[in-house]
Amino acid sequence: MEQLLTGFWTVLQPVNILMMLIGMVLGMIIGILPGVGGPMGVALLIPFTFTMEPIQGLLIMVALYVTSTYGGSITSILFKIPGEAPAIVTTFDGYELTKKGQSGRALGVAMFSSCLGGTFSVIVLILIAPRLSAVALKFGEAEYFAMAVLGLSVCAGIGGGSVKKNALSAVAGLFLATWGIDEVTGHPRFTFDTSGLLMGITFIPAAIGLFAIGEVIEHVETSLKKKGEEGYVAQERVKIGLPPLTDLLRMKWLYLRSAILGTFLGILPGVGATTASFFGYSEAVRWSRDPRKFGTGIIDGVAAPETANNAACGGAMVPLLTLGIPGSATTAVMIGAFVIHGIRPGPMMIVQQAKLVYAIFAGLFFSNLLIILGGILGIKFLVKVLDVSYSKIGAGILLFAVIGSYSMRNSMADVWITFGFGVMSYFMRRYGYGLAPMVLGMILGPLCETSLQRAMIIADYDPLFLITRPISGSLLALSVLSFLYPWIRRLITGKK
Amino acid sequence: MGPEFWPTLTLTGIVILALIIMIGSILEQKKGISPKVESNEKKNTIGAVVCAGILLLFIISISYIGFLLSAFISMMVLAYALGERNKLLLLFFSFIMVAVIYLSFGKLLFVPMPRGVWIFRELSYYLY
Repeated sequence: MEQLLTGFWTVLQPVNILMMLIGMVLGMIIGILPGVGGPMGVALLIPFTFTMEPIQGLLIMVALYVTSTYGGSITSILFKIPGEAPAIVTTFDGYELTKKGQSGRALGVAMFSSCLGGTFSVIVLILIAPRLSAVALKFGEAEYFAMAVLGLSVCAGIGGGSVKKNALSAVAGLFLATWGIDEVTGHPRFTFDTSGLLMGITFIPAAIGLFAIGEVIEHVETSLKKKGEEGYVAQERVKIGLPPLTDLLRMKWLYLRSAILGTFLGILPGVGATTASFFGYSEAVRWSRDPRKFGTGIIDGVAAPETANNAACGGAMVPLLTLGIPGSATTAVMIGAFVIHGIRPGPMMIVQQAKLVYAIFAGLFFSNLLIILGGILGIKFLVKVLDVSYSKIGAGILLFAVIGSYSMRNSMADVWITFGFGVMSYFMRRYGYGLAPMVLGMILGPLCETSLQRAMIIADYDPLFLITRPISGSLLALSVLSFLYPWIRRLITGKK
Repeated sequence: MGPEFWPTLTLTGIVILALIIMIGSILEQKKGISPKVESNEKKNTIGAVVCAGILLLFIISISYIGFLLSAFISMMVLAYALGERNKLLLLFFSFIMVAVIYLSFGKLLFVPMPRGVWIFRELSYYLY
């Protein structure tokens, strides 16, 4: 409790408040712009935070991460253009409300729901993270290996698209992570006799390539409009306000359900805010008295997915801060940021870096409140970024991608890595291979490998060691189940 | 279990999964299911290739003419290729972008940006 108060105190320092405000504005803009997503935002931001204090750098990222999820729904509601994938569901009822002339009401509910869902998940995070970490501290190498395998198995199974292709992405990520000097034996691998690859494929340049460059190239291919069609027609003056209390009381169970569901789904590795928003919506439809009204423009249809997707954002921080295992693509890139600032995410973090972890808790909490601030004060101005044509946004993103990846180690080799990954990610998107599984593979690869190697040394190369230990055994069994789950589901439903 | 164990394992995984995906799509084609559903949206593949090409030239040129000049030219060309036709705006945009990079990365973060060679190198010392 005392640590939590210290965390809140740290965040309330003027510098840190400023950082969070910057993060909020950036997050909202990233959210609003279609084709500029959270993972890209965090990846491009990391070079800027390089010289900052870890707390400040991470607070900007936390604020950006939380607010970008809300920003995405602004354009969902106003223009039927989801700025982010988790906001797709919000278009169903949000845009219908705008057509009825109730855009302000929809935006207000989205804002309040996001804040509520997010805050709920942060409270859950604060309550369970220290306990989970305490359990995780007892983990041995075998358990770490099993945990990493579980993270991988889930992300390959979900994440949208074909299971096989996502699995291939994940394994390719694992393979790419082996380049460079082997951590246990010190042997260089796949360096092709160049010094640039001695440290392996550095994660941040790779992430910038995957999320920024690939995204721009793909955007150019699929949605470059002819001259004159750029920009979106401005809406009537947007007025936004907090929703009336009666609405909130009426939807209290819906809020609670979506918040719990979203937080739970967020905690599962690999299941992100997008899935959570779909589940939040479908559950709201299922429990509703007249489900047919959904999709025609009702407030419930905005509240449910918005609560769930922001709850999932906070939920995804649970495995990140306690085990060092990311729950989504954005949090995977954030792990890269932690490492850059010299922090190894994992159960030891909450012990060694208690101040920082509690500051992140507080940061997450305030970020959710900033959604309201940004929503009320900022929407009018921020929606204007849509008037900037993609010719400049795209060019700007590429420029920041290049200088950003260069500046990490002042090395052109990293820029080439960025370029290579950018081109690769374009083909991955085109042929339906998930990017998130690859990023997770690259993050979890070293953990997987070194923990397996160490566990094998401890066990004198007896593979049964992994299975016979109760925790690692059950985690591995769970991994097999979750990996096979899509096929099992198909078998069951196919027979019906 | 030496340093070759994990790469071998993952590479084997890649090969097996690739084979499964390949066999799967071959079987689908034999069944007559078209593997891809072409969307109605017209794809601008040339635009994508041009965009990637400019980026490639940008990265190559950094080592020769220095970062700032190379970025300035690339930004103009890129924005033009992506659809911006207003010449004044192109100049203004590129200048602003390069100024932002110069101030933030060069002056604030002390990133030693590549200076290029020959006269470009000499000139760059006046700036940073």
